[in-house]
Amino acid sequence: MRKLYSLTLAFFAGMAINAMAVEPTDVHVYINPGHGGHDSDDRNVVIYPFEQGDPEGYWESNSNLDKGLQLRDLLEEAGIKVTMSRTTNTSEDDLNLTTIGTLANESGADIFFSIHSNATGTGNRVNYPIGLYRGYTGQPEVENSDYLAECLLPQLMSNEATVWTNEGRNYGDWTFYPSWGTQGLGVLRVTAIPAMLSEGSFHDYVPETYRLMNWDFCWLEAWHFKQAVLTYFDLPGETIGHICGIVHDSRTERTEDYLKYDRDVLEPMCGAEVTLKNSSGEVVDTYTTDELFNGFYLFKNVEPGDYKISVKAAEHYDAEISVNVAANAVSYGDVAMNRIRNTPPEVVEYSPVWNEGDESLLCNTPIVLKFNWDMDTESTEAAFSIEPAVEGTITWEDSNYQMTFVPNEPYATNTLYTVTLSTGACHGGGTPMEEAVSFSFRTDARRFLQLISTFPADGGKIHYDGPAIEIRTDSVMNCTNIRDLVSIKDAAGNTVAFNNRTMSYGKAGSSYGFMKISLSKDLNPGENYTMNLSRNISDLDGISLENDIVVNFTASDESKGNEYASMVDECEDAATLVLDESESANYESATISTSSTHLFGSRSLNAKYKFTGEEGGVLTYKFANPFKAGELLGYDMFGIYVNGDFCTHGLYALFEDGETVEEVKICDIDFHGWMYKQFVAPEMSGDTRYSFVGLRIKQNPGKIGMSCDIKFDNITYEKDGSGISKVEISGLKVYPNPASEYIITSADSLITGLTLIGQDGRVISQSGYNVLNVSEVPSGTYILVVEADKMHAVKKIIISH
Amino acid sequence: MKKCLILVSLGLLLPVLSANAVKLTVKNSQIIDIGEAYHPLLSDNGEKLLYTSDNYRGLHVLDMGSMNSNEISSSEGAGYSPVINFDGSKVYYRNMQLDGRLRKKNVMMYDCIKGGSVEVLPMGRSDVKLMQTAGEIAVLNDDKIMGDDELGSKTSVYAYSMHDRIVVQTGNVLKELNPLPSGSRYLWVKLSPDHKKILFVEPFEGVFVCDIDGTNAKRIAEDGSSPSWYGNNVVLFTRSQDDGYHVTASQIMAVDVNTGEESQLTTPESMAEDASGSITSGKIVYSDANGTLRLLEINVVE
Repeated sequence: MRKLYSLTLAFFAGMAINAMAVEPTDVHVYINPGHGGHDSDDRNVVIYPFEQGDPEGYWESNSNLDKGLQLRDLLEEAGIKVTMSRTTNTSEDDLNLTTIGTLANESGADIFFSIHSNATGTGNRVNYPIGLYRGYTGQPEVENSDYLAECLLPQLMSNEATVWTNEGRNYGDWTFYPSWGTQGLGVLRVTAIPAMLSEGSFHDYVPETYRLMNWDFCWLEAWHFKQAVLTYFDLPGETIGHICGIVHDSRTERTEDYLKYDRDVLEPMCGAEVTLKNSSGEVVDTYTTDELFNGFYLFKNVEPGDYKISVKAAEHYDAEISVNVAANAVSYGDVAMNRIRNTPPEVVEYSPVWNEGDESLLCNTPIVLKFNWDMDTESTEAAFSIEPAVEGTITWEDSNYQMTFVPNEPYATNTLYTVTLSTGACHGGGTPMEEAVSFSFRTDARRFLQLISTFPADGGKIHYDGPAIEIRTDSVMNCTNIRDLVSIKDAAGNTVAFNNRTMSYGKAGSSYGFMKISLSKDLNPGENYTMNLSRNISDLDGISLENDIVVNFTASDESKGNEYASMVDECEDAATLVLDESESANYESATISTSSTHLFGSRSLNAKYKFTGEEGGVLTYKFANPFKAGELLGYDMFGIYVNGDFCTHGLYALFEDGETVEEVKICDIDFHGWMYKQFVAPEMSGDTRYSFVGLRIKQNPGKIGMSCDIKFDNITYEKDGSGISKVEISGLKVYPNPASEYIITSADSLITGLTLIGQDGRVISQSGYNVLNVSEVPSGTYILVVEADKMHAVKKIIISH
Repeated sequence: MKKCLILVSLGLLLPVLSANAVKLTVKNSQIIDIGEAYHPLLSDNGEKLLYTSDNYRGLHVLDMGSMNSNEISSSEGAGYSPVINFDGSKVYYRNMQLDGRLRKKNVMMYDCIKGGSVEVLPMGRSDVKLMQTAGEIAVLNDDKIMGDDELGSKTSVYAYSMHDRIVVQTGNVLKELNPLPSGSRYLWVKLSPDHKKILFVEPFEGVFVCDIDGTNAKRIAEDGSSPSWYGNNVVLFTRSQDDGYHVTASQIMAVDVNTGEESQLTTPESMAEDASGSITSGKIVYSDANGTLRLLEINVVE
C-alpha cells in the first residue's frame, strides 16, 4: 500500500513539473480597441433616432472601446495585467497601426487583441463573428496566434443574446484579404507576440447595432474575451455566473424595413423593469432595459442557483421565467411579454375569401379565423355558426390567436355556405367583439373521391402466383400513407403484406389516380381474400372516399386452364405473331418480342404498344401460320393465357373463312397477372370451314392505358365434341358467346326453353323462352340445352363478366 | 554566406531644400537585393546592416561592402530591436519563446567577426532592454546595466522608455524624466549621438525632441513612428496613413530638429518604413511594405 501511494505521488508530481502552471498574475494582455475619434477611419451606422455623424449615435470606435475597457476591468479583477492602446475616444486616439503594434511589443504583453466589429456595407446584412491572425489560414506567422483565435471564436458563438445568421470563422489575414498580398492587417504586421483581430459581430445588422449601443451588451462580449484568455492560459474560471437576455413583445413585430432574423423580428421592450429574485423570493437585483430598442438586460456576479426573472413593461402583462445559474457561465433567458388587451377583439384575417363569380371551392375547405388578440375559446366557439349547418371540429393555434373549423363530413356540393362569428366572441380578457363578422363561399360539385375500378374486382379472381393489386380513382391520390389505408386479408382476417418496393402511383397532373402494388408472397389458390379500402383514402386536395370499401376476391391457379384442351401454340417464338399494319390504326409504336415472364415453357409472347390518343386505337396481329387452317367449324373452343396490365383494352380473336374475317371477343384486359381466357369460334352457316388467323387489340375509350405491355402464353384448342351434339335444331343461333348478361337464341322453330347446366351437371338457370339472363351466373364454361318443337340442342357456352 | 546583387534604380527620391536648415540631398538610390527584408538597422559606421522578417522572426547581418549576408538567428522575435555597435562587430538580440503560453526572452550576443552567438541572459520574464547610443551598446536587466564591459559600457549614457516616463541612465545611475504632462506615454526613446538631446514619440501627440534633462520638449512632427537620429540635428521617421485596418500610404521623412522643417525622402506611394541612417557613411537604408530594402546615399548640407 505504501509503495502504491508513493508511486501515485510521484506520478502526480511528475505531471505537476511538466504541466507549467500559469498564474493570472503572470499574464499580461494588450488590448487595442479599434479605430477612434469619429473620423474618416471610424464607422458610423445611422439608426433612429440619431442622424448621420451624430457622436451620440452608433460608432464602431465607441463599442470597441466599451468592450475594451470592460475587458480590461474583468481581466484586472482576475489579477491579469492589462495595457491598452487607448482609453478615450478622440481623433488623437486613432493611432497609426505600426505604433499600436510597437506599443504592444514594448509593453511586454503575452497576447494582443485588436477589438473591432464588421460591416457588409451592402443591403445583404448578416451577423456572425470573424477572427483574423497574421498569415495564411492555418499558417500563422506568429506561433499560437491561430490558437488564440480558436479560444475566442466558440465563446463569441455561444452568445445567445444576439442572433447569429451564420457560423463564425477564423482566417489568416493573407487568406482573407488576398488583394493585399502579404501586407495583411496593419496592426498585426509588426506584432512579435501572438495576436489577433476580432470582428465580434456585424454592426450594420441593425438589431445588432442597437445592441452594441448598450454598455452591458458590450460587457458580455468582453466577458467572452476574458473566457478566451482563461482558456488560452488554462487559468481557473469564475465561481459566480451571470444572467442576461432580451425582453421582447411576444407577437408584435418591428415595423422598420431593415433586415431582421429570428427573434430580432419581434419588438424589443424599452424601459422594462427586470427583477432578479432568488429561490426564496428575495430581490437580488433589478435592471431597466434601455431606450435603444434592444431589450437587453444583464445581471452580473450571481451566485450559482435557481432564480426567477420577473419583468414589468408598459402595456404588457407581467411575465416571469425561471433561470438556473452555473459558475463561470452566462445563463440566457429571453422574456416574451404579452400585450395587455386594451381593445376589443377583431377578426383580422379569414379564409376562405370568396366572392360571387369566383371559382367554387372544394368541399373539404377549412374555415380559418385570425384575431388581433388571443381569444376565449369557449365564447368564440359558441359565437361561431355556419349555414346550412355542418358538423365539424374546431382547433386553436398560435396561442389562441387562430381558430380553424374543419367539417367532419365534406360540405354538400354546389351549396352556398355562410359563416358568421357573432359579437359573443370574447378575447381572453372577456371583452366581446364589437361587430359580427360574416362571409360566404360556394362549394363545387365534387364531394367524395370516386373509386373507378380495382383489380381484383369485387367477386373477381387473381392468379395466386406473384399477385399485384391496383386501385383507380377519379383523382390523383395522396399516397403518402396509403399503405396504411389499403390492406389485403385472408379469410381468417390475417393481413397479407405488401412488397413496398413495388408500389407505383399516379403523380399530380394526371387525369386519374392509381396505386399498384405487389403482394409479398403468393396467395393460396381457391381461398377467398378481401381488399380493404379505408374511407380516409384521399386525393391531393384531401377529398376522401365516402365509405370504407371491401372488395372480395378469390385466388385461383390460372395455369390449370382447360385440362381437356390440346396445345395449339406454345408462344415461345416471336415470329408467331406479326403486326398487320394495314389493319391497325392510331398507334405510336407496337412491338412483338418474347419475355422471360412466362407460365409455361421458358418464354411468352410480349406485345408492347402505345396508342396515340384516348380512343380509336387498333392493333391487328396475324399468326404467321394460321391455326387449324381450313379445319374449324363453329363452337370450337380455344383458350389463351394472357398476362394483363389492367389496360382495359379489348382482346379479340380473328377467324377467317377465306373471304371474311369474324372477330370474337376474348376478354377485356381488366386484370394484372395471368388469366386463362376461353373463347368459342363463331358459328358459321352450313359447312364453312375457317381458320384462327390472329389477335386484335382494340382500345376502349378513356384516359387509362395508352401504353401497354401484355403477354401471351400457350394457345389451346378443344374441338366442340366430347359428347356434345352438334346443332339439331334447324337455324339455331346462340349468341353472344361468351355471354355476360343474356343468352339469346333463335331458330326456325319456336324455342320453348333454355337450361344452363354447370360442368358438374347441376342446373344453374332456366328460362321458358328464348332468352336467358346470366348476369348473376359466375364466369365459367357451361352447357346450354335448347328446347324447340320437341327437339333438343346442346351448346357449350362461356359466361364471362 | 549570401551573395547579393545591388540593382540601380531611380525614383522615390525627392530633393530637400530649406533655408536656414540642415539639408539632405539624395545622391543615389539602390535596391539591396537580398530577398524579403524588414526593419533594417545600420551600424553607425555604415558597414553592417541588420534585418529581419516583418514579424521579427529571425535576424540576419549583411556586410555592406561584400554584400555577404549571415544568419544570426532563426528564432521568433530575434529581429525585434537588436542593437549593433559602432563598427558592427557585435550584436545583442533577443530570442522569444512561449513557455506555457507566457512570453519569455533571453539575450544573445553575436560576434560578427568570429561568427556564432552566446547566451548572455537565460530565458525569463524580466524586463530586459537592449540599448544603443552612438555606437555604444548595452544590456539593461531590471534597471541595471549588466555586469562587465562585454555587455555594455558602464560609463556611457543611455536613454530608454519605461512606458510612462523616460529614464536616462549613466552607468547604474538613473534619472527619470517626464518631458510631457502627466499621463503621457513614451515610445522609441533615443539619445542623440552627442548625448545632448532625447528623441521620442508620444503616440497621441507626435514626435518630440527634448534636452538631456527632459526640458525644452519640442514637437518636431505631428505624427510619426520608428524615428532615429541622423547625426545630431536630423531625425528620420516614418509617416503613414491607414483606413483603420490597412496601411494605405507610408513614406520616409527627415526633419531638422532645430527648425522643424520636414523633408520627404520618399513619396507616400513608396510604402517606405523603418529608416536607419549612418551619417558617418552618408547612408540611409529603409524597407517597404513588400520587404524590399533600399539604400540612399545622402549629402548633408548645413
